[in-house]
Amino acid sequence: MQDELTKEQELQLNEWLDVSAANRETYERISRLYREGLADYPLYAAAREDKAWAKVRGRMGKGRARVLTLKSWAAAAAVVLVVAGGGWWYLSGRSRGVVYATTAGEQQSVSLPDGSTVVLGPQSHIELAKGYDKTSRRIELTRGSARFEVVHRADQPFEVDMDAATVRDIGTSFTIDKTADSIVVYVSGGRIAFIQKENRKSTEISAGGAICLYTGSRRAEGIRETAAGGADSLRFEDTPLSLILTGLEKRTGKRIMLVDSAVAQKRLTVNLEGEAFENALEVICSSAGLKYTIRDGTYVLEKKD
Amino acid sequence: MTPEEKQIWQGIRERDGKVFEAYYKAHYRLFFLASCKYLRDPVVAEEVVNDVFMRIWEDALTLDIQTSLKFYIHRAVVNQSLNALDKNRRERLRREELKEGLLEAAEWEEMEDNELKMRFYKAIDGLPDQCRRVFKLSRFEGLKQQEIADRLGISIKTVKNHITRAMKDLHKVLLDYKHLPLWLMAIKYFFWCHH
Repeated sequence: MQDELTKEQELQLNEWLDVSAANRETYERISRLYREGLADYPLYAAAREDKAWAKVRGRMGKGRARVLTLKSWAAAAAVVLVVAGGGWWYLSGRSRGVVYATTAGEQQSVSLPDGSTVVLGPQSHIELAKGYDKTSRRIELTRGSARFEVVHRADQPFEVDMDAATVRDIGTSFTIDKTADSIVVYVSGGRIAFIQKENRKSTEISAGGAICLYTGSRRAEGIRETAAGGADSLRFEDTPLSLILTGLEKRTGKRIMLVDSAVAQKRLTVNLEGEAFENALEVICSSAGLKYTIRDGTYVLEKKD
Repeated sequence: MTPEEKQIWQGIRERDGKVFEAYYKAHYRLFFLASCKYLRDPVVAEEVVNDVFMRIWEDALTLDIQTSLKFYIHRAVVNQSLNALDKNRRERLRREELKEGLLEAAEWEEMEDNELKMRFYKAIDGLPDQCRRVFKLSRFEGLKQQEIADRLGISIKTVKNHITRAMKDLHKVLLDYKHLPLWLMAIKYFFWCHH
């Protein structure tokens, strides 16, 4: 190639090639591309994104679950209720369940048709099974955290399904925090059965108790259970942050929200006994690299800038 | 993800159909060509790209994309294209890939090559009609300058002027790619080689 260039052009090219091995590599790649790789221009020229998009557009309203963020759900629910009455039932009867999801920093409460409530934490996602409250009361927690206040019904257990475990209520309030590699359940009222899918092992946890199942790379650590009463203490040893915050919430009655759910599994050893609430939060924040602000009465924890 | 990609991804996760449509249309040909490379069937390639985008749309809230959105989709399109091939061909391609060590770096390289092609093709599409006609006859049909002149009923000087104009336009587009003096290569491959 250089033979076909003027001396000035050749010098310019050689200087550029001499700058780095990366330049030489790029040159080789692009030379190869020009020599061999431009044969598909006719396909490029014939491609019609508008036409292709029309097919995608046609599929977007069909099939899979209706996905509504909680904000849009509020608007949609209002419309459906006015038009059809009992709008929730209408949506839940569709081919797949209704999905509720929150974005970063969002926390929302959902009233379920059986009278139970779910408070979703930020970046959380649940899907109600088809026919919820008719044939079953099953909810799938795909990710994030959710606090459940369940109306117990002996004939139809309330179940939260996750990839590695199922939680079944036995007259219950409980919080689940699901991350990529763990499931933590804290029981604040009643009892639950925590069922590991792998071995069908069922563990009953009573109010004040907690259970943590490692599902990711730390799976070897298996299940860790805190007995009822133990969680009432504000002494924590190598405990996931989510569990510490739940304990603090329970003791003080304050609402705490963790913006970044990825931090929830950060493990801390802290003793918050005897600390004023805000001092306790400061201890947690300084240990976990967080800061807190108060928004609408909720203590919001987020990463320091 | 780049800040721009983060914004787009957030829009998609919030079910913003307009953001999704704009992203689809801006990148459709890149992914379409990536699929065609394996499938050599534009109809199936379009289906593959659409399937991948549908999955992105439906599962946006549960997908955890650590790298770049574009890279994620490119990889998904390539994987799905391989899956769409018949078993024998797929196995042969897999073996070839293993030989070449198709690691993430190689996948990035493949996507970057496709992107460079896209820039180039877009630049060709942006040429004035007659200039584009001349350039395509030269580059893609391999006609000599005199043959182009005869076919289009113009002088050979006009053909040369069109090609020079094309090279200048392509130079403007391509020069910023990794600061490579691409026009030197362009001159070789698109001008001197075809006369």
